[in-house]
Amino acid sequence: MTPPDLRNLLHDLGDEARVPDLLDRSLAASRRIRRRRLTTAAVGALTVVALTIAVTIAAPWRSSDDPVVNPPATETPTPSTSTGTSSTTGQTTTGSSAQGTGQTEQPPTGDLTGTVYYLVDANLYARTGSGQPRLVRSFTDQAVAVSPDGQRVAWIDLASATLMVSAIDGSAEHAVGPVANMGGLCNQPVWFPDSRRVLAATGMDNTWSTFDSETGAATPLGVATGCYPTVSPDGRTIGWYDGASDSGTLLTDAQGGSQRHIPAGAAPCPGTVYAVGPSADRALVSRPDPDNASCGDGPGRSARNGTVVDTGSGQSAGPADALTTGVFLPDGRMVARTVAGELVLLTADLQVAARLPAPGDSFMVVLGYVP
Amino acid sequence: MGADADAAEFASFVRARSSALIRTAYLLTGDQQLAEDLVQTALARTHLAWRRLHAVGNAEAYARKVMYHQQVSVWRSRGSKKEVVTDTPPETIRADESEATALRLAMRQALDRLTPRQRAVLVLRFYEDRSEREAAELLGCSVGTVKSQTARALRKLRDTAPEFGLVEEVTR
Repeated sequence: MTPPDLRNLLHDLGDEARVPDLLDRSLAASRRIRRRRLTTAAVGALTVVALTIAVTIAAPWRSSDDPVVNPPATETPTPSTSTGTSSTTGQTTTGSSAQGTGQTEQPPTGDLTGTVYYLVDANLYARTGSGQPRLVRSFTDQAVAVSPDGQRVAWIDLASATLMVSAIDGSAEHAVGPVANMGGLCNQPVWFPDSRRVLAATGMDNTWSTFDSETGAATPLGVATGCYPTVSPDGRTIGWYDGASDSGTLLTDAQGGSQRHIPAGAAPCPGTVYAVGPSADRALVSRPDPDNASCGDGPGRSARNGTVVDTGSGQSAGPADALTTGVFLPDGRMVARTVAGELVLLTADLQVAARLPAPGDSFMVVLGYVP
Repeated sequence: MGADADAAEFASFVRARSSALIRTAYLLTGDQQLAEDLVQTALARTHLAWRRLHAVGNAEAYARKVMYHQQVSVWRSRGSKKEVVTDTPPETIRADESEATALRLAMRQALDRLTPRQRAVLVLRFYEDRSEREAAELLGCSVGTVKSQTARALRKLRDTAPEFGLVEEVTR
């Protein structure tokens, strides 16, 4: 039997399906979804009102010398040296963006002399500055992640459905624990900023766990989330693709809770979140193709036409360049690849501080940048 | 455009495209009820986004994308069937069944042994006639993943139903 026969058989099989009248059912389902969204929005609005009242009441008693109250941390990552301090600027980072803090000094800029780690297909490369790319290692699939300190790599071995970790040079390879084999879809490992814990899907029913890459201990997330996670540099927020929503772009805390979607705006198709900024106020997401001919690239690890948006409004925050992939640094800067084929370093206010010709082709996925 | 006109056009869309969508959903799920649920969800979300989708003329693309994401990427436990691995050979086909019916039965049983994503790449490549690139874009994975999933799916079909004599597909 040749492929055309397979086509015929599939068409014959598809013809077995009965075609019910789905109009009333889909309209009823639509109303249910709408009601659920309205309920969620109402709860959110009430929460905002309650918080506003609480802050208003508390404000007169707070001394101007008191520190600004930060949102409660949902987990306490152990920052590594390389993620806690920018060696390029010498500034100690605090894991919060300069945006909205009232700071008047110029945000750090810097250059692109550090090492960028990236995937092309399933090959992991490293390039330092404008030097030649170096093939670090080849994998069988794109489910690969480089730790924020650039010292280790995690991947999913599809044959054994196992989360694996090794040193970046391939030494000290070991199995961390069993994970869900989704054939390269959805389940992508992602490191937390401590370069020790790794998030991976453990169940086909969309359950995820945080693994200690050294002990193998797994801590399940409490609630179902989505696919293709990305962890913010402060470790407090996870961005997900959520195909069940119009937005597609879901943000949660490190346990999968406090779920909120990035507003979809006028996007005709679900987007994907590729990177989340340090304080979760910004995210790199996909946006519709200019011709609206398709729903874009679908969920995955790089965009055809991405942009950084304000996660509260969904509005583009810049830069002018369309982006395909990128990572946020702990100080709010960002290293990204443009659609035009450049690797750019963006300041915390999304101005281009440095440009280099990008290594790799348009399908490169930036996994990390070590200044 | 008013609400009445929107409602009428959505109803027209559902009536015109339900048949095609339910066939794809049936191939993805292998089950009539799951297929109906999948299409119902896709249509409900399409309805919610109808005004902006209809304006740019890609309502069906959106509905199909929701279906694939629901079935393959998002892994809602209700709608996804896990791979069933058994030592039991496929159900014996009765001699009085026609060859076409027998082949269809064998194909259905063979498909049931594939993972949802393997089914998805087969449906995209051989039913919807999508290129590897298009399938990768729709599923949100690399072209390499589509290639490997297609190869695994065909290999599993060959192993499960050698009577098909499937050959490696031609890359497009």
